[in-house]
Amino acid sequence: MTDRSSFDDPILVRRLEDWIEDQREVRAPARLVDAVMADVVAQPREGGWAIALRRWQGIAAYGALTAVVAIGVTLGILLAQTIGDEVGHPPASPSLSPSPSPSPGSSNDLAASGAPPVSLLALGDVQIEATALAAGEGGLWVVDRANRLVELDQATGDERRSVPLPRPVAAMLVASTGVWAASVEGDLVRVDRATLELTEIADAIGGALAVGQDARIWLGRENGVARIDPGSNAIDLVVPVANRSPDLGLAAVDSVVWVATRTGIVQLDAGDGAVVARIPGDATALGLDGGSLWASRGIELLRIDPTNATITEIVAGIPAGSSMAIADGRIWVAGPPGAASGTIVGVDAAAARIAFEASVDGSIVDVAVLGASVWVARDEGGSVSRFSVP
Amino acid sequence: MNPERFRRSDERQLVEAARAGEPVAFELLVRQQVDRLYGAAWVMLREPDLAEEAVQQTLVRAWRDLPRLRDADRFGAWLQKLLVRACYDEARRRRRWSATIRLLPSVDDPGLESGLADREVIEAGMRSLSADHRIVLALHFFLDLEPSEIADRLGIPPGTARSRIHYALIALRAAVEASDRPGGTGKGSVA
Repeated sequence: MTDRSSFDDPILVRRLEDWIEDQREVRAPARLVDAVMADVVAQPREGGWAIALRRWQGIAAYGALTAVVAIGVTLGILLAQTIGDEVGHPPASPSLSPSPSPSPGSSNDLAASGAPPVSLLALGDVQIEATALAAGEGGLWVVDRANRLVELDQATGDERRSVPLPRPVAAMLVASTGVWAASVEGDLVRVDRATLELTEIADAIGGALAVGQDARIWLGRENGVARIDPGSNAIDLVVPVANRSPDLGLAAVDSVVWVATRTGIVQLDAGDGAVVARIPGDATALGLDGGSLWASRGIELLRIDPTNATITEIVAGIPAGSSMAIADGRIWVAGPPGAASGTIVGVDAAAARIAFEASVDGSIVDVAVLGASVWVARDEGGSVSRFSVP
Repeated sequence: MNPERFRRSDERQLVEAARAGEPVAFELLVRQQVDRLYGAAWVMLREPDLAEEAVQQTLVRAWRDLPRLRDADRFGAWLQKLLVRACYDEARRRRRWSATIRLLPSVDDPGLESGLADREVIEAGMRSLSADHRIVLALHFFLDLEPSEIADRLGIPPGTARSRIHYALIALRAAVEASDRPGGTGKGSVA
């Protein structure tokens, strides 16, 4: 039996349970099973032997591809020794569907030509059960299920350093002022990147983070946002914003902050928190690229012109409820949470179209970009997978 | 295919047969699960057509993706994940649709009145919640999942799941209190 004793309103819980009992009497319409089976019969699947054969074909193709990649990696090592570049490790995840990297510049050609997205090249998995992932300031950081903050070596995937955090993390941000870990169960934690010393910010509970003007940190909360001064490690501004869940997105640059709500995106003045504009429509994740604000809304990615708060492009076909990371003119979205399989897509900001994609087994928890690699934290099997950006 | 072949099979055997491409085994699984899935979708979406659509999407997707399910013992949990995803899809698709709920005037039998009105107040309160909050309450109270299991179904940290349940109950309490006040009416929109 589920324990509901921790909730502080037993009368409400009892009323809700009574109402739920009524709902248990609801039965599915008889036509539903017929409709499902009609769809099933209309799309018959191959049997076990055919599936096994297809898997072996895939493995054979994967083996051939691995040989090609190995040659490429060897050449890359030689090149890296010459120019000091970073070298990835070989593919290790047969569930991924990589394809050979296109030649330099070809992604833009593909974007312009309307060709199908290029498959990302899988470079391998790091075995760590990550609940949050963030990159920045040259480092890649993960929080695992034991609430450890771990810095990963981006070349080898090895753990470089770690420090225990006091509670589960809902969002993480790597900034010049440190690694910031927000939680919906307790105060925001700031971690010194050099010493791994922890500082807790009083009364700062939340589920989304962004860094804005003067390196101030914005924290997304239930029905509001708070601004943290990294100089004093204290909240210096609280702005109520209705219809917000703590985990909905934030984005900040210069004197403006965008805040996602269930009913729209609210633009705030970063100085005093005054509402400057509202953009209708719900969004889950927000990010900035150059002069554009990008917002994920269901399976759509919106480009918004912040100067007049209008949607200028809609890119359809992204995974719903996605995490977002932006770098080098590409918007990476990955998700959806809780799904049987995950998808990573890279949108070319200039062409406003999906230029790259990959899929993995199990849902995707978070995404980060560092250098020429996209990293995704995966639910199934507890791993962080690395992909090369062509 | 003879359905009798699967009559004595347990769920794991049915899942393995369905994974191998046996529609009859899959139909038996569907019949075992459909009422519970539909009930959960009904609580999450509060609209029979949407619930029906979500369950159909869930089961058709399950048939399509079943070969990728590695652990047959996870079939039930996996179906719940698919259902949550389908309910989010339906909620998003119909987000602009809204309904206003007004409580009916009182009836003659005070006991009956109190029971019915109480359920209507909760009904109106549930309708006023966001899809996020309805879904997390359905997972916790209808499907009896613990926060760690809810975290698994939603792909969020367990702490966020606990917090979401907490905030959903706060939102429900606010809606119920508004309706409980003298002259109050339940009013809300379906996200």
